[in-house]
Amino acid sequence: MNNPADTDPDITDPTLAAHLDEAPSGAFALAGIAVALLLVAWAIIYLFVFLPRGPVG
Amino acid sequence: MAIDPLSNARSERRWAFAMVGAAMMMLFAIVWASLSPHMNPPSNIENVDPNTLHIAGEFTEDNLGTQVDAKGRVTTRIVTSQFSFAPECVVVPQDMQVTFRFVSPDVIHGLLVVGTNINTMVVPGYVSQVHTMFDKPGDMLMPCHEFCGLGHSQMVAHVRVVPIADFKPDENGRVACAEH
Amino acid sequence: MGYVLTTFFIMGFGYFVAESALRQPLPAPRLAWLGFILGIVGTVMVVATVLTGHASVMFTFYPPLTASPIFYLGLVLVVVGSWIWCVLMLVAMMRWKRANPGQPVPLAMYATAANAVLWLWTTIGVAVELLFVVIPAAFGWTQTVDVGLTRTLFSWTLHAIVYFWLIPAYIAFYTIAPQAAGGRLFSDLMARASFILFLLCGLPVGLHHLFMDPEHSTGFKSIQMILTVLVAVPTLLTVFTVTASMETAGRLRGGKGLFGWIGALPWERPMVLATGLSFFMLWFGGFGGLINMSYGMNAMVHNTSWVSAHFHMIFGGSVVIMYFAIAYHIWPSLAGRAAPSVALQRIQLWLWAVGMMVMSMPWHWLGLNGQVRRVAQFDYADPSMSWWTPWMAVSLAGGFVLVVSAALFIWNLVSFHVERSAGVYPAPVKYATALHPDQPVPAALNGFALWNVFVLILMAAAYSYPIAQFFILNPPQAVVHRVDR
Ligand SMILES: [Cu+2]
Ligand SMILES: [Cu+2]
Repeated sequence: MNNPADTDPDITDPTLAAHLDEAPSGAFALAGIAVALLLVAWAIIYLFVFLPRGPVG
Repeated sequence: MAIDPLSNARSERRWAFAMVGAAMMMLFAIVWASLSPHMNPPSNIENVDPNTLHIAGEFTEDNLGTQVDAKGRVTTRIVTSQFSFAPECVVVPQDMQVTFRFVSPDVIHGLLVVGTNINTMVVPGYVSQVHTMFDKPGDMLMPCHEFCGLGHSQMVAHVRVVPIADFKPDENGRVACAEH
Repeated sequence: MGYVLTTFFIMGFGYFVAESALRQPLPAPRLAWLGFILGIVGTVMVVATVLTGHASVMFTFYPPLTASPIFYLGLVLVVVGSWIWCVLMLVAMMRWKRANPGQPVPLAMYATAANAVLWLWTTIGVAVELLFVVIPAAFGWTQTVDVGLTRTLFSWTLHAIVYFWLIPAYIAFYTIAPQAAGGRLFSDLMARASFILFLLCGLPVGLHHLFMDPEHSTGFKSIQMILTVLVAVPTLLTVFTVTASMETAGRLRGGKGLFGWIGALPWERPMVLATGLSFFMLWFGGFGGLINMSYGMNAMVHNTSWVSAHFHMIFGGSVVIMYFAIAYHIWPSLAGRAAPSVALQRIQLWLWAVGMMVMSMPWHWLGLNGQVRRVAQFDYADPSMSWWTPWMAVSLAGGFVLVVSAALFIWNLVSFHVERSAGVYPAPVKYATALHPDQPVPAALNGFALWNVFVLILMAAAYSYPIAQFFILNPPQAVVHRVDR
């Protein structure tokens, strides 16, 4: 299951540096899109279901 | 350089600010809705003794249902108990402020009116009060939504919204669903 | 169901973490077995009373509906068993700290101990409710109960209990998934901070379950609403840090560009697959939760199928799928054997996610349109309800897929022991290394003393008056309604 090649604790900093110079741009993009969609979905319910259902309290 | 711990912390801090900002936007919208169009949860700390409410006072049998008072205010009183609403059908006018008052003599019930923001728990010991206004006529379902025992599924009532022209109180100011 | 599965899983996983992450034997294993036996006995008492119809009060057991005392005593035993677990977790952590002065406690253990602290705080509400109000009524010593008080005490427990169930999944996100994918944990400090935020924000928010109740004022409801908005923050932080950790894995495997790292991840590994599916379902569960917590907006959905959908997405979906993946991940080192079929594990995870989506999606829509929950049957002849039927059929189909998946899960674990496995002696479970393992950890994020003080202050602010009001105002009590005779 655990391939020793990937879990090598001795990944040295130069190797990391060579691979990770773009990180975490991908996480910003993916998580950013997910959260933006979440806010949009929330706003749709707020504007098009909640407010039209009228005052209450 | 992405593997520098400082830049790491910087990206996380940027993300954290963005997330707190997003949460604040939602908070702002919620607070606005609660202050301006008055869309709040029903909160009305008002006590009533569940053991005597059917004997005397506001919730005796002939006081239930919709009533218009001398000042023209519309109030609908409903008792929820295992396993029915009394009355099971109420009439309310369209485009007018309506106040619902619910009480329970036995266990916890709850209700909502389908397609509206009317939703409240009915807790023995308390009067649950909801103000609202209906903008279209029609028959709406009002089921019990809190488990109150084995007959819970059968506990359903209706709210009948009628145009103001058809909303005709009798000499005591009461309006009831026609028998059918 | 929810109580029992989670409590046993969390206890088991906690013991595993305490031994594997700290590399030291568990303190007082006899006590751990005592906790386990108390849990089993309690469960038998609860199940027996429910199945014989002496406890038809649902798992929220709202008084004045009152069941057989055996039902409540069973619950108490399960909780006491879990308290033993909490104490053992904290003792294990303290022993390790004494043996390794100045060293940061391994993240997996720190988070497990955070969960133990959270659980001790969480159970206070329900324990007080049971011991001082519900059980005396169940034995017939008292004839009336203060319903508002019992609801408020139960709400103390009701939100944080879900975080107790959730945290093991988050432990896997932070400490197991990045390792399983072949990457590094993006930030150890952020992980610690998130677990502390769960501890702080998970507790003083229970009144959001009582937004539609008459016994609390607008003021305290809004205070707890604001705190509830803050609860979303640690999850949103987790989403970023875990995604960034997975990104390191994808890039180390050669993924390029903004999204190329996603395809480069080893999706064939169950832990990686489960994490992906879990995050997908977390989006829907989080969405449902945001609507629930939004104060006035709660009126659209309170006590409807929407709530069931939210709960099933978050707990049944995101969390339980991680429980499965954790079981697959640690079983080889427990059983000393390699998995006979990783493919079957993947199929099981996929079936679970698909089944959960198919079952829960219609509930969102029906709930928004007024379908109330906890109902045995609807009058489908009523025209306002008849259109629900096809949606309920879809939901039912999803339920069948879940049953198949659950059966396959059991088979997947049994097969470790039944089939002749490849004979590979799997390596012990390893936890993810941080990208910057040498970053110093502040003492505050290596213990809980400071945070317990904060929890105390927050709970005092959020709950002192809402509970005290029942003794100041002395509302009329309700007569006990027995369901067991
Ligand atoms: Cu009911
Ligand atoms: Cu909650």
